[in-house]
Amino acid sequence: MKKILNTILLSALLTALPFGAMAQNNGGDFFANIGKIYVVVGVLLILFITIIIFLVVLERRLARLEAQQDYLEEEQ
Amino acid sequence: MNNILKVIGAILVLYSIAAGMLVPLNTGVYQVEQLKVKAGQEARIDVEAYNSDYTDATAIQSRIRLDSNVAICAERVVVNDAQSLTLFFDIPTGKLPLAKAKDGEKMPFPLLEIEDKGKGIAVLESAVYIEQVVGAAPAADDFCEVVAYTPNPNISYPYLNILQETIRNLYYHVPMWFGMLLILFTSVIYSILQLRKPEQIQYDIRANSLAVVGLMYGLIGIATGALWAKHTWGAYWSFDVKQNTTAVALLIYLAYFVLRSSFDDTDKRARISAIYNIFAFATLIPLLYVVPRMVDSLHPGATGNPGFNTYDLDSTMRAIFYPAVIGWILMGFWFADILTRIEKIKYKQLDQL
Repeated sequence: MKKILNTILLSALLTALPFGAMAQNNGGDFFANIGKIYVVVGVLLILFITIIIFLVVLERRLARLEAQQDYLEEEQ
Repeated sequence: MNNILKVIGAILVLYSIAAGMLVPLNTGVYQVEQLKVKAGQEARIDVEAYNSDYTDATAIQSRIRLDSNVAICAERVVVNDAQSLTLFFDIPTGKLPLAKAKDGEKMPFPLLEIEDKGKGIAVLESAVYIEQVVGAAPAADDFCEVVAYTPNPNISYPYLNILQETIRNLYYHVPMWFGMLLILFTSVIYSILQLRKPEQIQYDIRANSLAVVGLMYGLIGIATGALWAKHTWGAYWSFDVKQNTTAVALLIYLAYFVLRSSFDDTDKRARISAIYNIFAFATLIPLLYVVPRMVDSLHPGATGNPGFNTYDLDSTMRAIFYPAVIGWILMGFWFADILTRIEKIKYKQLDQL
């Protein structure tokens, strides 16, 4: 798990490096690069992560119903 | 829910994401060096522009507007690179006809304008401080004729300082609040229907699902707003009145779900949570739409005019913003519809047990 995380962080860093050269006066704030476009990326990520969490909740409820359905069918 | 509505919702959301991210920002003045110029002297101003493509110095006209109809034009423009210019102005000596600040209004002058013919115009408000000298007013020929500029021919979003590219967040943050309000309102309608027809448990199920989606939209709104605030207002949470009241409103809705889960009896739960839902919505309106307008807020449109004005939202942005609002509302009803269908099956199974 830690290895995967490190790989992700490293690849994110490597993709970000060329943009670092384009960085304006941002005081080392990655989000402030290229006209603060990464703030928009972050906002979209929050949006879709929340929707994915919602989908996971739906899936878990469905799974519980499926298990209950199996139990009901067995009883009959 | 009608399938066509789902398709429309999905298309509008995809359109708002694609168009919202692909349309470039207008040219803007990112930074000026030399903030103080002196009357009667030549002023040299180094400009760093954003999203500009400066090549031909002869195509560039620059002026410092002292008032809406008085300007000093740049006498020479040097293109350093595509994003960088050096401007030379002859500032006339004597008392300059600088616009006076009106009470409670933003004072945009001296306004620096850089017009690149056929590529649009970059504007910086209160760009320079002009140190004036006492003396007779300068002659009229020291100033240049102010011509109406040609608008940017390409489709673009306005460049605003501090906001910069984050102006796009308008399509992903604000529709959440519009969506939340309408979805929670529909939830209240089902709660009222539930009270009128207590035997129809499906109304309670629908009211609950819509409240779940409404709360989800609210949480997205508050989280995206916090990230946006960090990089424009300087802090995730600056205890802005709108931030505080929405947090309270969301907590009231969280209590709705706590209340629901504390009942075992379906009829009792349906009745009491319907009543709570009506009261929760009744407090949501003043918390979100009345209190923030009565005090100063960092949010645009606070105090007085609640909507967007022409400055905040231009016609290009409207063409993406309103579809985004409709799209996310339709998506919200779709989410709630799926949740309702799952919950209905659960109730049916409970009857069988």
